[in-house]
Amino acid sequence: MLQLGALYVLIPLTDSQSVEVQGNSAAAIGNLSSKIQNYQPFIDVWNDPQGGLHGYLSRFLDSHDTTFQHIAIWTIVQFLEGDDEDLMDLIKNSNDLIPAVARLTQTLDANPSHKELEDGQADESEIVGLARRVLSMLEME
Amino acid sequence: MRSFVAIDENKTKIAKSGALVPLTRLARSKDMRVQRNATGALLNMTHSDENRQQLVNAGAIPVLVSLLSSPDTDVQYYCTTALSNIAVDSANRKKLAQTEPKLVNALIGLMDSTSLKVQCQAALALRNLASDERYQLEIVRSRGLTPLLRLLQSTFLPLILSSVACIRNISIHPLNESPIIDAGFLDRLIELLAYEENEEIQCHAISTLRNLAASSERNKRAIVEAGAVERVCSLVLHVPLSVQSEMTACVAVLALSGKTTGVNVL
Repeated sequence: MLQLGALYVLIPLTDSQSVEVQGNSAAAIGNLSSKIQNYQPFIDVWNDPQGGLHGYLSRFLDSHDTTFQHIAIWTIVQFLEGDDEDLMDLIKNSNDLIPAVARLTQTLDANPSHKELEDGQADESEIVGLARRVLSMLEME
Repeated sequence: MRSFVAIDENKTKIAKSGALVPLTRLARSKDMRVQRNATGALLNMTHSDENRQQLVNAGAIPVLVSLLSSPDTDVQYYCTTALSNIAVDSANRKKLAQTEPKLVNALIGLMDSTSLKVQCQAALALRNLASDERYQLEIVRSRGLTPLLRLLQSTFLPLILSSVACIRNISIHPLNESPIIDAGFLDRLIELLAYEENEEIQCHAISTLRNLAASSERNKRAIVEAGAVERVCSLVLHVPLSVQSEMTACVAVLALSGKTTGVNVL
């Protein structure tokens, strides 16, 4: 599916006017990112189209929607587990991704009595766990 | 009588007046003209929940089901459409399942009727029945897929719409995923993704593909190999939002191929 150019349509759709389309496109990117041999298709779209993978991850990490935060941070974990040096460098060297991930690790501290989850809402403690994992994988903690 | 029954205000009065029992009896008349008018009047009584219930209580279901085998296409149409409306209610579907074992076969047979509007209503009636698991399985077991695929391959929009809506419901059952793929539905479903004249057809087609991809690796592979992803990629930026949402959800499900974990679609 990556060879068929799926990322070139999915990335622009993460910025759709429809929340559903945004979430489904991001879920598709996340699922495509897991356990693959070649990460070049993700590197190719880092900045383009429409802000690229970098723009999408940054937007979702900064979203107020915990489901969106969860998809983005889970996707970054998949990239890091893939251990592709070039992709790891792109993540590490971006100006905004790591600060956004670091902010997510503070979520529970800032909001210790977070309310019960509504349907479909991501678990904040899991998001914090994944964010900490990202920092530790990049040795930035 | 039939035009008197067509006015909403009169329908409730008729339902409450006790006229439905004799009307149901008239539907059994040997005079085809009387039978046509009576079944047409019964159909007019199926447009509201309350009247449908009165009709069911008056014993109309077995009469309507037995008249599905009428040689007259008007009677076929009235009875098929009336039963389709009756099958909208889940309590009625339960009753149909308990009392009408020949219903599914009769409706499958009517997808080969000489009348296009009967074919269309038969597919819609099966679609409504296929809201329930038991009917999803029964339609496939009763060899409903072959006539359904023939309707799906039609060039007549109402036939395409009714058959694609029907296969969408049937595809919900995990046990139906492989039989539908093996019956040869994939190419036509993928073609219908580009049916720009009707958004509903596009939505049903992509949702069916998503359902078919839900449970097995083999089926995910078959859908990708049939060209679904290329077609979605070429269309997705230009289709209405409702279709876009279904298309991206389908890609997310297909992207799970060969993976044990992933992100769920919204």
